[in-house]
Amino acid sequence: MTSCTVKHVLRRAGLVGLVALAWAGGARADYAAESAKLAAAAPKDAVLYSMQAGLAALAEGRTDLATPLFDRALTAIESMYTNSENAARARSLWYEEGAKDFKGEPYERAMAFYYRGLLYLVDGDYENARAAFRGGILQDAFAEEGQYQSDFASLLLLEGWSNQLLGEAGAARDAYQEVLRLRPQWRVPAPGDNTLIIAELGGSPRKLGDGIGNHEIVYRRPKRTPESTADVALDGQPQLLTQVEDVFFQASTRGGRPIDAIIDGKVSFKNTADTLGNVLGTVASEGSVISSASGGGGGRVLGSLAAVGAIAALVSANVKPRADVRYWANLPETVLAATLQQHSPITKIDVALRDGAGQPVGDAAPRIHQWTDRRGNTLIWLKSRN
Amino acid sequence: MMAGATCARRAAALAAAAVLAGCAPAPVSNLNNSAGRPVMYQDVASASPTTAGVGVESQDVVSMTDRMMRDILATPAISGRATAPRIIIDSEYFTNDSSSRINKNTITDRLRVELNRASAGRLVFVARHYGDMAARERDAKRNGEVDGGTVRQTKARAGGDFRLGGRITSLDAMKKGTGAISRYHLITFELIDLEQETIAWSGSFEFKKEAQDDILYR
Repeated sequence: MTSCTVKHVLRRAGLVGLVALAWAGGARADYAAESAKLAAAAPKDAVLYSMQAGLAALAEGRTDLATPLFDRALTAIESMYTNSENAARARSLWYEEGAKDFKGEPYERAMAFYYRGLLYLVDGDYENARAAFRGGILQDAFAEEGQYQSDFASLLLLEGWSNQLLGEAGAARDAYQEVLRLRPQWRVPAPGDNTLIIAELGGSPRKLGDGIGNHEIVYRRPKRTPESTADVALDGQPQLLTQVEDVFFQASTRGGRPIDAIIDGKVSFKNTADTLGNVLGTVASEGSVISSASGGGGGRVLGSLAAVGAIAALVSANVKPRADVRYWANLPETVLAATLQQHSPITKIDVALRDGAGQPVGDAAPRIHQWTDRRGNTLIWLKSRN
Repeated sequence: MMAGATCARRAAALAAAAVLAGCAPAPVSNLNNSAGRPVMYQDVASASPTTAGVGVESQDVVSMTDRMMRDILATPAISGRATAPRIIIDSEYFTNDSSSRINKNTITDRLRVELNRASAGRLVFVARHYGDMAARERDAKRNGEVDGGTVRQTKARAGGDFRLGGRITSLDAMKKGTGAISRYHLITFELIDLEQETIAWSGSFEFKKEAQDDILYR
């Protein structure tokens, strides 16, 4: 069992009591690398790299860096793109979908709101935290498959937690009822709970291209990130964490997208042009043999057919039906949560990661942070890897 | 024969034109060669032509605070008193219960400043939002750390007669097939009598925005 000792840095009364502690040793979330990617990124990719850099900064305990990065991402996500040049390109035959400005799929947008909400919680701004979590729930409602709409239990839980911290017991109860409907095994926070533990385990869902010209998106679970449970003890007291979110499930139940029809049209056009090129080429080739054998003319017509066939083949080669497979690469696979009431600062946090068979996972290097806001409520956040 | 050849040549030319169009330069992934745009001041009371969402924006803040200011000044129970009442306007009891993230101080600061300027002394505003600023200076004066100043000294700081309360709420609606989203905001403002706990004045501002994202993002 890995352990760390928490050293509290309590600021003067009236200021935010901030305790940010990093796990010693092992691979680290690399904010520097992510911010370098952001600096070099094309404008169309800025949102993607802002979110990745923001999460890397959060993993390093740099809430001051993470906050503006997520604000930047959410500003773009919440803006309505109605007349974008890049959007027009992405719809055309000659550009792939990835030419558009990245805003992410609904699960990625929802997670951007999730992290911004956590940052508001760290800051003790529960009202805006609640607004952010609600914003994420709304993004999830854009999921295509009806039965999976608004099933983002972690966001519902966090909305309820924000309500509870605001003293709005009735609204908190309503949100918790929604969580229970989706996660019956989850333990509802007690009225006096003032500490929330969030554990993010595993790697990001992978978005891959499939089909002709990679025109379809398929989702795959992350590789080589077997951790599925975390044994957490605070000052020697074991805590029971419940899985409240499966981010891969959120990604893979999105269903079809309206843009898929446009991409299918590109594939159809590409196939038609390709077939036309092949047929005309074959007709011209065989026609010239027959024409030569019969000693007849028609060479010009056959030559033109061959030229048109070649041109059609070139057109086909230039059609780009590839779907947009850019994805948020440092998201977790699952989210676990628990709440408790604590009266004194936590000085020791023990964490052991286990795979589905209950075996210890040795290669992860979890990041652990503990933040106590100005109102005395605490968020303990851990991420198994970046 | 000649006509057939001409047709063939025309067809080839047309196809070549199509190919040229198809061979338009592929996007260079990291190159944005669009022209730059100089910094331009925009009217804060107008919607932005380039970026917009369904949340609370500058034109909403300007509209709502202007309306509340006029309404408060037109209320005799507040602004028509023989002695100017003391009013606390800050975001302490002005809550955000909506799905829009917002800095509430943007609204309460503008309302207080505009009201203070327009009331021309008919209302007095207590600067409670500056925390212990005055208390520390008073202590320093009384302790002899600094002199007594030139204005006056009072036994205690000013108490408030009225204080702003209010709430931002919203209702969201969306249609998944079209990507259309609609958000209705209701923002209530109330001045509370700090002795009797009665509501001396109420005002509200509501608006609804609808938008539809590009098909690429639905």
